[in-house]
Amino acid sequence: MNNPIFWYKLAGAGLLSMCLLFSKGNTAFASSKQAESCSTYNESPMLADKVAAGSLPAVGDRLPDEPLFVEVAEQIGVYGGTMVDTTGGNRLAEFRHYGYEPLVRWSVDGSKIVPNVAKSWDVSDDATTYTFHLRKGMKWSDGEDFNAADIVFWWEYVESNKDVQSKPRGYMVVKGEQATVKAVDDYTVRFSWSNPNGLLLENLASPYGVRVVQFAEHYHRQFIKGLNPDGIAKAMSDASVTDYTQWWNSTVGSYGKQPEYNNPARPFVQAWIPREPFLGKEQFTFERNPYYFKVDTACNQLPYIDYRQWVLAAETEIQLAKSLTGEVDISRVNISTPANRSVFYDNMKQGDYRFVAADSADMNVANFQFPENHPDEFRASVYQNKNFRIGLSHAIDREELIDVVFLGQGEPYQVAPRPRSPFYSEKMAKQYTEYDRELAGDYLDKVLSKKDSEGFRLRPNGERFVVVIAVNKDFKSDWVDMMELIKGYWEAVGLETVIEVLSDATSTSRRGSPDNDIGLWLSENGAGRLPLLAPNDLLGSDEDLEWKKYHVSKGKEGTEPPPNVKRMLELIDQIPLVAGAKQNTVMAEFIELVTDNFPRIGIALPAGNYRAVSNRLRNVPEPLMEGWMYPGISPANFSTFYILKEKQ
Amino acid sequence: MKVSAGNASYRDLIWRRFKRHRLGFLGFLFTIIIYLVAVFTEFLAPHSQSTYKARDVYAPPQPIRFLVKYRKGEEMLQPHVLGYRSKVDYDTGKRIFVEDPRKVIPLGFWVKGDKYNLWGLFEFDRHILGPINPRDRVYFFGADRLGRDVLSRTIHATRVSMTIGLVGVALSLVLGIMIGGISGYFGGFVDLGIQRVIEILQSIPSIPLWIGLAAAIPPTAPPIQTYFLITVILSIIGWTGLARVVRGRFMALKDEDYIKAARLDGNRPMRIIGRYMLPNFFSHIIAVVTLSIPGMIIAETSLSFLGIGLRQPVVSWGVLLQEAQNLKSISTAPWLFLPGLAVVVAVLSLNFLGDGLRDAGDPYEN
Amino acid sequence: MVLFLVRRLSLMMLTVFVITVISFFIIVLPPGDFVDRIVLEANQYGEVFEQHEIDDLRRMYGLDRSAVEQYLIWLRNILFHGDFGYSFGWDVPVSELIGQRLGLTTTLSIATLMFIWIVAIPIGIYSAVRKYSLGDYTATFVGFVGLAVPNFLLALVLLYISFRFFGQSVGGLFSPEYVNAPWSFDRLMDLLSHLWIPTIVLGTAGTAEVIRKIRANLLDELHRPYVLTARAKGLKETGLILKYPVRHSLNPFVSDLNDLFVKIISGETIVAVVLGLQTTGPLLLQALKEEDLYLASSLIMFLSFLAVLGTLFSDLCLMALDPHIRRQAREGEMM
Repeated sequence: MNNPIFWYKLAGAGLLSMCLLFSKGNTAFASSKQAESCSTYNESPMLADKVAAGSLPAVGDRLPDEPLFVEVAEQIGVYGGTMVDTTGGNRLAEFRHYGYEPLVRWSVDGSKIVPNVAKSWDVSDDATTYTFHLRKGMKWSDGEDFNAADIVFWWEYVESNKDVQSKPRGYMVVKGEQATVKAVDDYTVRFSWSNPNGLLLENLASPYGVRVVQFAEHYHRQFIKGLNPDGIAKAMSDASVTDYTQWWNSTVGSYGKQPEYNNPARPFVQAWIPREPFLGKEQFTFERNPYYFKVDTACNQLPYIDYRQWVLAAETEIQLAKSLTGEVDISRVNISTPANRSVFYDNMKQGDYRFVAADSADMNVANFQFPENHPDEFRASVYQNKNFRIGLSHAIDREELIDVVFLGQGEPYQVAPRPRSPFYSEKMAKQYTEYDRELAGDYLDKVLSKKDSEGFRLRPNGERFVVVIAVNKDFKSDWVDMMELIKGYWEAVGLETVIEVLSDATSTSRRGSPDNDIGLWLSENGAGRLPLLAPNDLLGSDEDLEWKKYHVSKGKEGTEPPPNVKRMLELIDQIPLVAGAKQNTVMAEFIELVTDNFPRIGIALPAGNYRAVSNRLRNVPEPLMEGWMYPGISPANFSTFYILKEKQ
Repeated sequence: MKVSAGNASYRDLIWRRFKRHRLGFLGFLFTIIIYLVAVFTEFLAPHSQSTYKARDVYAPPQPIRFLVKYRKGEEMLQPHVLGYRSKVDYDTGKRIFVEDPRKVIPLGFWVKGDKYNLWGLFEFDRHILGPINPRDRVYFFGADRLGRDVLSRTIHATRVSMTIGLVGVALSLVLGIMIGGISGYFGGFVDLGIQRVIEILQSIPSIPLWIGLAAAIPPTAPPIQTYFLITVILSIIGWTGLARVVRGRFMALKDEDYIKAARLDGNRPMRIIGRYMLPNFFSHIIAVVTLSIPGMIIAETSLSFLGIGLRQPVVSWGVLLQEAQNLKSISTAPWLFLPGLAVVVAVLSLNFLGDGLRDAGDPYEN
Repeated sequence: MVLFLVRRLSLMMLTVFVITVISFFIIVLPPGDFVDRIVLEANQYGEVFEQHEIDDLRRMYGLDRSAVEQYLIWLRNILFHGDFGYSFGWDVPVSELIGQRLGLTTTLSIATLMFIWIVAIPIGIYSAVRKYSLGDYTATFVGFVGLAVPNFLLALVLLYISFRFFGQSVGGLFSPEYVNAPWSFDRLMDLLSHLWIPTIVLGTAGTAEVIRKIRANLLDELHRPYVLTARAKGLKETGLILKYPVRHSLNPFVSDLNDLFVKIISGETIVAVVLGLQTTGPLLLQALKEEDLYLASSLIMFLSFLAVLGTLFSDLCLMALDPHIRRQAREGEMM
């Protein structure tokens, strides 16, 4: 006892046991930390009953060995309830509210790509090979195994199958070479090309990537002509269809087309699945998928919500009314406009919902494009002159416009990546946005100096130079208001402006017409790395066909573009072919050229978006994010939303 | 000399009968008023139809006040409205308007205002009622979503809406009488063929027909051309009813003795139709025509609602109502529905007028 | 008589055939087709279709063929297979869509018709009997206001009132919990509680015409000698009016019934669009806007057929009631 070594040993032991004690205690309190694994899983009572009755395997057998753990926005939820949504009658699976379950996906804030169906992946240094690791034990909604064979099947028999689709989607083809998709083993699949594919992950995380995991080999082989010739011949004659592609599209469907989800026998990986055909119905319900591969951090199998219901509502005012009465749980983006905010506010108590702020992934509320290849040579030369665009840009009172049309939300902005994007350039975003009529006049004088007695600018022959802006009023009603204001600003600096208000119908018939004048369009893909996916949106105009023809045909057709445009087109081709640091360099050069060229005029950075979310729906992250290539608001993890017990 | 039924002229008798029908008479008065508004549009409207003030988006109506209070406590009699101070409140989504007692906008009659071309003839800039300072703006019935004066726009729309009715009805009338007359007079295969065509036209549901015809209007057509084509569309559907009535009457009259006499006399068919048969039911035609106009007005609003009618920058009641047709307007800016009131008054007036005319039309009835 | 029927029926067929041709080509001829719509709509939400995808879509919908070919195929399918084609927008056979909505359309039309009768007939009678009185003016005014207010406006206002002040559900003739439920008393009550808006909107628009007709007819009748005789004989006024003049003045109703019915069916489109009802009107409107070729053509054909049938029906009724017309038909004067 008087031996000092004994006391040291005791102290050491004591210290050690204290450490052990505290470490064990820490895991018990870490309810919000990512659980590494679970010894048991919990499931919805609805499924537990079925397990007890013997019609469903136990939850541990239904989940993969390594399920995807999802963090919740507020707190661990409760099971049960029905979430209600509206649909316009077409395109149920439009990915923004349903259907987004790809191989890899965007993080909630859109800043990076994170695992979804794939648990991890490796990319070769030269970006020619992508190896995805799937989840062992993951199952389709009918209980069958999900493995690499399903993805290979998708590639060989659907995407690159000429009977089904004449060509695969662009991101699977690099320099004319189609991908080689191989199953390395049951749970590892490899995509490879001879050349680098710089944007594969971003494309796989977009709505165009969901198709990769939509075709269960064991179920879909019966629909493939080469694998089941007799069965298909009979099915086609039964349906009196002679064209295989037509039959395939109406029976199997792909890429978000209606028939895709109209078949309850088809296996899915989504959280909610159909139990009966729903097309044409006024109201229909999807049920939870017992084999969904995600769990929350407390080892509860997701989703929390048992059912998802859709009601038919084609008219926007009806969609709005349904949100106002609280029937619908999340208002759709098309009715959650600045104009409607006051109506939402007035009915908030009665409808029992709250505002949830949303960010936009868009670069701009709208942009003006100038057809630089217009058949009228004089007009083309005016549009090709940068001073013309600069002048018009300075003539716009953006602050007033934002105040009037967007409830004061947003800031003056050009067509440029958003502030938090790695490709943000302050010069690109803010150049020429000051409202200065005199300066505008000076710039315009450099292009169209002749004016008539009323101050309107003239062509060399003495006629007024008139610009025509076509607006589709059925698409965005606030664009019509914006254009009225723009007309005022531009006429104040002497440019006669005609606003053509078109409906959907007439807009369609005018597409691609070479006579089209100034174009007005969206500016999307501005957040995070999204600008990489649509660099064309930063270029001059979708209708610069002569220059594009030249570039695509390598000089055989079309007109030669000026050197800076040529370079921009070259860079656009390069972007998908390089990866990592090289990709950033190419993009940086592209951004600089665009900034210098100033091909499009932007108006304002979108801000102030919102959704009306019913108070009974929880775990909705704030802010939400809108977009397309980032299919907002799907990545907000609908599977973690839950409905308050007392309001189920 | 007291006029009695025995010695009064035809016209006097009709007028007397007409006055008895009080509603009809009221309708007549209001119709005259509305058409006067259509004629003197620019003079009657305080502002032009398109000037706007961006800060006055959805401004509520300004009540007319009469006493101006000065700081010393003095009061002066001067009709005026108070200008607005406004601020956007993002949370509630509303623009809050507060009357500013320091912004007195005096009103007057015969004031100088927005310039206009009276009937395309000469420039003028006086307005019957408006702000004394031409740069001020007054919103008796509030402002719309761009800050344009609702009253002015409604008044301007009167001209378009009331004349579309006229032009359309005139076309229908001509078509109806011609075709119905030919059909009824000649009978036989001519009649058969025309009846079949009428039946076909009447059996096609109106909306697809409208949409189909509207799709034929080139979208790049200038507004006036669009206006004209819309009236043609409206009349293409309208003439069938009148044609049937005319035909029926013609068939009845065909066998009358005096018509037979006229034919034997060697009169050409067109002369017989025009000189002998038409005057017989002239009053009936007038009544039917008057009653068709409101139908045209309502049809124009429906076409605008469907998105296939008139469009900006042309303003008609239909165009204005279509802009107002949303829940936001009902709950936060109900003054935008003033054009609806105008439609009601116009349609009612014309209907009662037509009823009165028809009732009065046959003075020898009893 | 038989000859008359045969002639009429064959003419009917001809009429309907011509209408199908007209309606089909009205839709097909303007530039742009359903696939263009899909692409436009998709573009608005940021999607981009690659050209081969657009070509594939055209092939899938059979829109890469000529208009005449498409029409003949459609006609052949109807005549030989009873197959009205496929709806591009809904991805279901046309017959399924029409069948589903027919019930509600019919219910609404009948309810409107009844509303019109219940409101218009008493007003019309009163107005004729008490001509030029204050009551006449008031009643007529009320009847006509419905005609004067544009339908879409009235519908939207009533919609707003119904959910803001009565807490009713919107966008259909049933509350969400009753949409797919089996029939029961509660479901019927729910239907009635939603039916009032479209019925009132459509009904008020139709009452004016009916009031006018009744008033005019009754006024004509009231001047007939037999009425004078009955009065002289000392019969009480009310009974006298109801017994004969009113019944006679209702005769023209038979001929106008189908007209009214057709007007209601085509008039309900705008109201149903505003209220979000699942009836045939909005279906047709959407089909036309989207150039959903077979759905639109089938619906137009169907509605036209109803209209033509209605004319025949009313002519037959007229013949049953009025011997003069029977004679005309027999002698071939009436076609």
